[in-house]
Amino acid sequence: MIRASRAGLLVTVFLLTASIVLAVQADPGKVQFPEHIANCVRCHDAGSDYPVLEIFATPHAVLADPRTGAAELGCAACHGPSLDHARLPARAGGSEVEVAFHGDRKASTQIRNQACLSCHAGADMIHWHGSAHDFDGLACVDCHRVHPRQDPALDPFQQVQACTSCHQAQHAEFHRPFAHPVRDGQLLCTDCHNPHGGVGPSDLHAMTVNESCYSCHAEKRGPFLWEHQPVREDCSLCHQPHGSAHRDLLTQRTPFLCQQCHMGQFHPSTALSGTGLPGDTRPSGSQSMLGRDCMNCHVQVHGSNHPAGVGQTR
Amino acid sequence: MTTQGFQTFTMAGALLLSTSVAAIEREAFDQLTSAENHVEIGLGWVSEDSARFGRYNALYDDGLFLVLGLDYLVQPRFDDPAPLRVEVTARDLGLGNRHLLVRSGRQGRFGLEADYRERRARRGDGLVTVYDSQNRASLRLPEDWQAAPGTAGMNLQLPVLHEFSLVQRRRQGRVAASVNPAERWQVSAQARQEDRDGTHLLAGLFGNTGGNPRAAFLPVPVDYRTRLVDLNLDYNDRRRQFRLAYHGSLFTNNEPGLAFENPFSTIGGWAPGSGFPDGRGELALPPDNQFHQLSLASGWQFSPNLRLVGQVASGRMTQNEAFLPYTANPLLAQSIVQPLPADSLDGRIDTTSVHLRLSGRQSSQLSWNASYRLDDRNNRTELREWVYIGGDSQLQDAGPASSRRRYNLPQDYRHQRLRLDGQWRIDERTRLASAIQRSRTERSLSARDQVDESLLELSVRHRASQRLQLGAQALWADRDGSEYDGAAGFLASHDSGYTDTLAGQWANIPSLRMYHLADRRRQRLALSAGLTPHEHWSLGLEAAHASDDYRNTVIGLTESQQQSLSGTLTWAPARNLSAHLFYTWERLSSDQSGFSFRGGPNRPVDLANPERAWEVDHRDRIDTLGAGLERRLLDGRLQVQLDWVKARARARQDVSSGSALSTAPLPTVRNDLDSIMLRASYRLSEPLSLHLRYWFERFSSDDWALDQVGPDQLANIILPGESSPDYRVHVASVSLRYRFD
Repeated sequence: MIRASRAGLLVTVFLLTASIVLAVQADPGKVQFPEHIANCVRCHDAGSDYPVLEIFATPHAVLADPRTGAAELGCAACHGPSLDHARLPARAGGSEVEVAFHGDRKASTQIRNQACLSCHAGADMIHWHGSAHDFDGLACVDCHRVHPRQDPALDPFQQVQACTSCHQAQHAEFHRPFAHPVRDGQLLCTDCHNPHGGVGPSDLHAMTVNESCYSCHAEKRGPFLWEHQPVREDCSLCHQPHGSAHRDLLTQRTPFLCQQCHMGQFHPSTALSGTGLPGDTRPSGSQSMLGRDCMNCHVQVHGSNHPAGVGQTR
Repeated sequence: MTTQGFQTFTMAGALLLSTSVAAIEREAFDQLTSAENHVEIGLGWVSEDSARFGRYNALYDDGLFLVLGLDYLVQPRFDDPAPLRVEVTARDLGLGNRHLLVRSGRQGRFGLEADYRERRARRGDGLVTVYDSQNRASLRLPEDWQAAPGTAGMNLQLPVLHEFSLVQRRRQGRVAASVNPAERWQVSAQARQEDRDGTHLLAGLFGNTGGNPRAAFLPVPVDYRTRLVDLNLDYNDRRRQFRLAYHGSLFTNNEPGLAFENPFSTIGGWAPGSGFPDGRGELALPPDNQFHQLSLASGWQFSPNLRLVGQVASGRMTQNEAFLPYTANPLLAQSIVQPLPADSLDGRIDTTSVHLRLSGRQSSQLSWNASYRLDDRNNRTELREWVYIGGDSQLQDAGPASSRRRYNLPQDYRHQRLRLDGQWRIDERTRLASAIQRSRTERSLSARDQVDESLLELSVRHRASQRLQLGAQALWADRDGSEYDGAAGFLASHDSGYTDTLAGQWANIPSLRMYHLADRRRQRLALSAGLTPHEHWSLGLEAAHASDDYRNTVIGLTESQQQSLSGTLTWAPARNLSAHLFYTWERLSSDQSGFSFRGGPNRPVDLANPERAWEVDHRDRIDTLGAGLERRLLDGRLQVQLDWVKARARARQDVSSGSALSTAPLPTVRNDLDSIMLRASYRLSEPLSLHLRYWFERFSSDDWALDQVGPDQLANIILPGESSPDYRVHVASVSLRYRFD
């Protein structure tokens, strides 16, 4: 047994020496990799079905950044040491890598995610554990692609498609007649939501719905002298952020939406119907229905800072 | 040889082979990994003007536009000892929506980023106003303006009216930097400034009750600046992470108010001098305001299976814009005996937000979450007494029983939520999840001080086979709360000298329940299926039914429902070919009830008459059908992409009432969208490719509030002449893209 080990050691020393000699005589027409990476790209080369080599154009393969582990561990930084696989790969009847991310022999979601979280646990990822996507059992690689140059989840031209491939309801909402310009490429899902676990409702980056809205609509923040209480509380009480069949992304047609909370004497309680439409002559029609209906007069529905703006008219 | 010896031998062999054989041809490697730099130049054409089509893509004008873009990347080699990366991206430089991004950094050491983005949104064309908008802050009527008590006596035709467009431009500059001063630490900062200018639309009102309003729509100047600052300090190791952050948002408006002359002559109920030619009014435009927030987020891994994450934030919103006077009319201002109680609001809301979540994984079968959320907004604005002048049309009435003696309502809000989630993996195929949640919302100066909600959720997912996954989710929630006092806000905002004179002492009918405060029972059931009948085909189906039953509401929103069906079919037979088809059917319905009543001596009579009740049934239906195709041909030289969408939205309101009222049907509101986009690129040579794009979009709509409703349609309001949009726009572009090193 000792003799066999010695023999192995001698062979190893010989082969290592040979490999160093060969490495010194590097061919400039060839790319030289560190040994632990070279062992992988020997099989996973440019002819590979999956574009493995593209990873060398991504931040994950930068050797000078110690956070990647590329210099120290190479592919093993994410895939595990996988010595058995190195000896005899799966397609030759051997083993799969220890942490396979795709395919029939992929590792469990927890193990795959741990490979990513061992580096990506801070900053915007702090709230990943227990977040909606984590609890649903999503793996990081269900959305992200690590080897290709372009990760669809990070590509502004592909991200919405990537999100709506699961979120079908939101996909339909973006096509409603009144919607935020997601379909136009002016807004991304991640402008408002943190898919890795947001601290606000619906995984918003901001801690409240209104803080999220104010990041683009700061003019509506106030505080105002004359507040409109539901507006101060939650924009989504009246607006559907992804899209609506009604103008200004309202949840319902005005003036009826207003009448769901305002039912005072005279005009607020009037039964508004087709009787308020334009007649054969001008002027005619109800000023609570035509044009901007209630907002023909109550123009400051988000709050007024005018001392006479009691009814949101100033 | 022993196993260990063999392993040593094979490892050594592998190492040898790795160095001797694994060196990859540089040319092939570079092709896969070298930076792809492009410059794109070309011409595009838009067939017709359309504000709605171009509201977000800046293609609102007909004619030619320039296609100009750049992708430039200096990408270091993976083994570069000092990998400095530089990236320049420019998009849509020839359009009103242009974006320029410059990014640089040495990975693991520092990063710098700067970008400029411009967005133009056109929201309306051909609108009209009676005002000459040369002086944007003070709108004047034409010299020869002929006033009248209503629109019937006015000349509301061009050229008396002035035309204007609603165009807004946002210009945003941003700089960001990050430094890694030590392993596991990062400091990052970002500053953003957005200037927004243009015009939007509001009405300028005169009048002091619902019985005597007169209004005219105005082009309102927009001249906003928002500055955002974010500073982060991050620490990250395997077991602990934290982020200390500051967020600041400063909003300024260079147009604090908009003054305008009164185009109507003085009418009954208005004080002398309120109408033309002396009458003038003023709107307060959005006040300067600030928000500052400090937050601490952290994650702690107590054990491999137990983790706490949380964020605590403390913020402050402030606003102290100088007040405009009670009236812009000097004649009415002479009546003021009780001046403004303060020069500015000195408004302040302190916010406290907490989000904590403890996550555990007892075994591979069981995991759970326990979370707590707090959203507290303490409104520290002083409650003061105001004696306002209604709509620049009356003298100040500071009498003890005046309805104009009012108090602002700085309302507090506090929402707390406790939630427990559990998940059991029953076997390899089946997963069961449930959640229980309890929330409490407290409000001051509100119709309901406290609202509580309990929620239960149950879901199951089952993988019936390798090709079929099924899911079901059910939700039930019930909301109730403290006694509902609909008059609370009314009484708090009026002086008792006035409310003591009122019968009933309420404004809204007492049986009204505002929907965000009302008792509510919510139910939702959703079913889903994912089918992969063949490795090239996949089908996703979803069906959902949700209902909100406002079970104790007599007046107000009584019920709402939402049903939807959706399906997505995907076909991907090869890497160079994929297609998808999707369809969604949505039905949103809600019922609301009202009660029409007059004031004064008629009020008790009306309230006793059940035939004055009315109802509105809302029925919205939205159908969205779409398809897409991606194809690569000629060995990848030709790429074709096709997207098609057809969306139909119908919104119907059916109004019915008791016999004491008269109602008539309303037409259906209709919005139809058809859009098709075809993109093709052909590689002419290694560095040069030709890009063609064709886009056709058709939109048509009917809206009874806007169609055929001219400036003189209403007796008391001069409208802007908006109409529901209809357009058919073709866009075509051709460009050359040159790839360079």
